[in-house]
Amino acid sequence: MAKAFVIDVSRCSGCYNCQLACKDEHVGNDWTPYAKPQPEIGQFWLKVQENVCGTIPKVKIHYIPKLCNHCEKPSCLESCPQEAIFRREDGFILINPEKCNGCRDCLKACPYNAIYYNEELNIAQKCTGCAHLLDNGYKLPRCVEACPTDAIKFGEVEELQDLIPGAVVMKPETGQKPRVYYRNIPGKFIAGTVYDPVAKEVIIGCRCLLTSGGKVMETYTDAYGDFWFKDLAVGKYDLTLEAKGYARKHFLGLNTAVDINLGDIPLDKE
Amino acid sequence: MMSSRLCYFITEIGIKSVYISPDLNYGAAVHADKWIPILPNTDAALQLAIAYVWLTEGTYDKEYVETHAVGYEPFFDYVLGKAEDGIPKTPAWASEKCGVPEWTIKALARDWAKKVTSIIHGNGGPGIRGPYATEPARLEAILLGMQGLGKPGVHQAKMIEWHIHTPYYPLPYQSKQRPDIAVFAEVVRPPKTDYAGFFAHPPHLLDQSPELKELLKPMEVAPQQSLPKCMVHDAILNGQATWYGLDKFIGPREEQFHLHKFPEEGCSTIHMIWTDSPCMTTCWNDGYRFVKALQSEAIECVVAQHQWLENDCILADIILPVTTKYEQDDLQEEATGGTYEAVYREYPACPPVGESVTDFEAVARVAAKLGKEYYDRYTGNVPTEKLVEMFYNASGLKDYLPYEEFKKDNVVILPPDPDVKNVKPGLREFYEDPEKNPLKTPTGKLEFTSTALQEFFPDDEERPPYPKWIEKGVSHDESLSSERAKKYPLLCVSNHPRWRMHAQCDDITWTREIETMKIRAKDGYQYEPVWLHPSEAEKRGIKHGDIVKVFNERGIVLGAAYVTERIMPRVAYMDHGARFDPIDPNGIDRGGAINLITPTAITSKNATGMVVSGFLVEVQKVTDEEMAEWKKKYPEAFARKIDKATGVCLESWLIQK
Repeated sequence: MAKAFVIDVSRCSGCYNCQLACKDEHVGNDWTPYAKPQPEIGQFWLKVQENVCGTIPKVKIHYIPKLCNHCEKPSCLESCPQEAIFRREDGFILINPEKCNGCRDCLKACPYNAIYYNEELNIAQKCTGCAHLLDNGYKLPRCVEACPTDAIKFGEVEELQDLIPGAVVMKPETGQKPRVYYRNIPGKFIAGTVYDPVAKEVIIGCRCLLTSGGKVMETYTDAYGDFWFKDLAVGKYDLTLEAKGYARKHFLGLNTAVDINLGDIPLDKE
Repeated sequence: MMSSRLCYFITEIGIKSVYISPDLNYGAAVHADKWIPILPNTDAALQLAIAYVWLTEGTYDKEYVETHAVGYEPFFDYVLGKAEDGIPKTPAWASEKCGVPEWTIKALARDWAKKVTSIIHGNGGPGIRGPYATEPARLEAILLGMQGLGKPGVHQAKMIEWHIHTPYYPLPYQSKQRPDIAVFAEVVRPPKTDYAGFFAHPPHLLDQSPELKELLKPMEVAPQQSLPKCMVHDAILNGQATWYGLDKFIGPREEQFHLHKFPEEGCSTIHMIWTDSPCMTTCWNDGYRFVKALQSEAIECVVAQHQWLENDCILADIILPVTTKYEQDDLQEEATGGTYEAVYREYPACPPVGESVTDFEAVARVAAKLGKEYYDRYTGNVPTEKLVEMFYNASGLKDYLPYEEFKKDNVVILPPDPDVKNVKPGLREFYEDPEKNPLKTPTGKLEFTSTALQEFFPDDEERPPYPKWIEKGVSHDESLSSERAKKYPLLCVSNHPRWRMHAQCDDITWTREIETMKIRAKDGYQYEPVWLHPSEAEKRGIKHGDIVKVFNERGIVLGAAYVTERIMPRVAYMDHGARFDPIDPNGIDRGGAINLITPTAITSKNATGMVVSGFLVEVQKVTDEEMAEWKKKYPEAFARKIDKATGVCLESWLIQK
């Protein structure tokens, strides 16, 4: 038995209800032994991260709600000299506020920066999965309940089996096996608009070939002369633009460390 | 959220969304398939070029235009360059004005003509609040008309306040009863003209509560004169004002041609102001001029009735502290959210804070000071419980669920109207048979050239009989082509705030932590974000998070730079509604209330509306020296206590004697 979260980034409209509902539940409310009150500002047991990608006018935004991953192999738990951090039967990782002595080793140990230090109380604090609610008849943590687009799903791992394949976790290389899964986090993009500088018209149906290490992707410009290669891995790419009657154009060694907008690209007549 | 869910639905059923705006706004951020950045308040140029493409390529619905529209020839001549100005409104012509590449304008025009296209607005926002905003609004109707407005899928819609346009756009959850709990003022002072169903309580519903009608009888003292809110400064500083139309922003078309003046014959000028919505400085036009008006000798007393000592309250002589709805015993309807409609009793969630009383009680106590008979007349001495019953009975639900039944649960959720799907959407009936189902225009048709404007204002160059591109005029000179743009080279766009409701909720602790709500600058103060494109920021040596001043001849507003690819070059973006925190109430604001420096004039000479977006400003970094100078010159402004979480502490305005 283990609880998990599955977050569909493509369904998140950036309303921040989850971030606010979390604060509503924990700021100023003492849920000892689950958690002591969160300070009025500065802590985000769930934080919505806004990602603005690309350059004008090829700009895309996605939001990623981030919370404690309630890892299967939590480094925080191991780091705690007080044995204040423990795993519940349902998989939630909790910090016992009465055992914690504020040493902050867990803050350093957590690769996700999901743990906060409460200076006033001298304790470490983080998401509890709203265990105090679930233990008392509630079905969902507040963040899940507050999501108006059902972007955050919560349940037993078994119940979420349809959603987990293909989902990713944050920093899998740490080997901590997070139980917060993400779907549809966009990869990098290469985009542009192709036009004829003499006729001052977009070129529709221009063939766009993108190659990377022998892999070839193909698309055609749309009614606005736009092409988009989305969900690309970080790497080097070569792009060729071909339209009937126009000289070919090449872009070599495009590096998708960041999203690339090639802007309005003129193609000269052959 | 209703709107966002609908947008997801629109995408899911395969409809593409094109967003045309200076900023990649919060809707475009997640729902746009294509973003076309356009300079603020230049939509008319783009729209004319789209008409040009359709006319020259023959891709508009000629038959529809011939059968459903009148006065299109002069408009078409104007677009094609056959009118007096001799300028064809080509995509190349428009590109220079609106900042959209010529090829993109053509592509947009063709894509629109090819596909079944509707236009959706969030709420109109800056698009209807710019200089000469009548023109893009009218052009939009013309473009929709050129593609057969009312045809399946060819509509105009907006995404909030779903009750306003019913029954034309019924939503699946809408009830048959359409409950309406009157606001006291609406029933005390019913509108003079019939536009019930928009912002007024339908009069026939009041008839269903004879007790309420009886109670209100002695109060039927309609004001002798009224004034549009955007002209209050004029009326005070000039001692008079004239305008066309109602003092409200929705009303019958005919009203636009009635000239009103203030003061009316035999009436007084303004000596005293009593306001229960004291946010002129941050929500209306030319706020610094409003401050000047309040400070002028003409005004002998200002009374503000409000929950917080904020915005215009700090300029008041007397403040009546009133409760929030959470402290009140009330009755409420839900009809605007787009989901199930409901009526429910609202009991107080907590006792009134401090000395505050309800608005009703505050006024009643003033009446009591005038004499018992005034108090009795105003309140009728009716207990709250009885008042709730009277208002319930005037809500339209009396026959559906008697009050005695309602009282059992104190909430009624209404079932959806089973016939809702049979209602023809939008202007479908007009589309199907314009002769049988005429519009409310004088000719019953879509008037590309307005017959009424032709009759009443044939020579108005700022709102001509058919819509035009107006770069400047007697009222406004706010284009990038202006001489003024040499000093103020950025066009300011101002949206309805994402994290506030106008002036409300600027001090919410947890929303202020969201990066696009406030930016904590190096002095620890949380400033209102000013969006700037990286290229504009770089030109000015501005970095993300720097304290900046947004200014023009009308004054200075401070903010913090939000350097982002979400805004186009040559533009500065700042939402309205930030709480006024004057360093100098006559020209320097730290709170970021951008409306302090919005234009003075109304929409245009004969069109009465506020202008609060699409105006020229410059943005500069505030140097340490400049800030130090202000601190020296205005020590009391910087002595106000600041809370790390909520901003300026309002008690700092209190003087202990």
